Amino acid sequence: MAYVVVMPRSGQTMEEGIIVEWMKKEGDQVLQGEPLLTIMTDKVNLEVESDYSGILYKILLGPDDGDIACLTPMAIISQPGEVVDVENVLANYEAGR
Amino acid sequence: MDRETKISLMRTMLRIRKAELQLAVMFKNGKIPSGAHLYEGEEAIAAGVCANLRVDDYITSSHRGHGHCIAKGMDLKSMMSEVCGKATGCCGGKGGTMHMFSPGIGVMGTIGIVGGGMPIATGLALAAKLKGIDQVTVSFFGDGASNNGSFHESLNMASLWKLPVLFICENNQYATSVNVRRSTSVKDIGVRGISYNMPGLTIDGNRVEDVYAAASEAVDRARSGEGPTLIECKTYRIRGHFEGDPSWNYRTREEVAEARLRDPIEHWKQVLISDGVLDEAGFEVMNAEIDNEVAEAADFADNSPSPKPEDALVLGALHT
Repeated sequence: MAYVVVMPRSGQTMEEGIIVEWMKKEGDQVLQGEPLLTIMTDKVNLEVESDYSGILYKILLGPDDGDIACLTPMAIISQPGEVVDVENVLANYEAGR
Repeated sequence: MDRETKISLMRTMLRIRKAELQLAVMFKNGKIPSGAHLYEGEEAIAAGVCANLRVDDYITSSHRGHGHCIAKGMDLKSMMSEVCGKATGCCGGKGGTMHMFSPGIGVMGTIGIVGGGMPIATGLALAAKLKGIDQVTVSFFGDGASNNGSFHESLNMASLWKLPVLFICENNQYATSVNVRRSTSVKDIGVRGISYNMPGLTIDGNRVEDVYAAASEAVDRARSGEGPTLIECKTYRIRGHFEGDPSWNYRTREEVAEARLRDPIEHWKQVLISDGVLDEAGFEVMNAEIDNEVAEAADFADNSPSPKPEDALVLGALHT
């Protein structure tokens, strides 16, 4: 099962955020509750913790991408050994939004 | 405690934990049109107390109230839909996380105002006494609320009139960002019962068996007309005050990591395994069942309609 990590809406007035840095790289194991990346909102720098345990399969966006709208996919987390159809996972995510 | 109760306590705690983690994901995904204050790590208190209550007993709850609603018997679909502001929620989606009511199962409100539930609980208990029925009310609140006037006024009146009410203080160490040591004049909030001439206990709120036993005795006292009890349950708020709270500017990662070692669910799992009530396989079956239940509830909430604008002033969906 693959999960999409999105730019969180971390407050009712938050519309977009900037990625400051990824604390994990592609292929790293992540545990639920572990910090994945730091984002900057208009109010605060915030660590985004992983909601899932697995492998950081693909990083889609980074610090060079500037303002990123809330709920935009930033990465995909997979299970160990899983081969993920990234396009398909993102399409499913879009369909469910 | 019988076998059935032991398993039921585990099931309630797991249901709360998994529902809260699911809501954390839904919050990040923009599915919750409000703040969200989650109860991870404090599950033993709601589970241990509410296991002693009847359907017609009342609770009042706080801003961190999803766990209390679940433990009091609220359906996950109804709870999650309400948190997501959907018409299928317990208040038709008009209340949200901090205004969840379901009088039919005795949930008399997750109340966002700190300390707001205690006077209401005292009033509900007074009503039961005046009506001459043996209904008990429980008020859940935090360490911060115990410094509010409403705490002291409620305890005084409840004791004076020997009302059938339990005051359950969930001391999770933090009132928003303020550690209890910086805000509270006593080390153990349980001792404040003495001021109001009622039993005041301080117990380990991460041990569901201790919570269950203390609440059992207090409910018996209340039901038999002997008056209120204050029980302070020491616990720890694993997550930030609200989802999105970067709590590292007022507490350390080490402190949270250390608190995670005292996980109430892991503790109870070990007890049940050593008692021979449950084995790893049984635990996994229970896990899978609740995973399914939570996933179904989340889908249900996600796919439910929002309340209609033209129904904004219609109260029909409420008080059912």
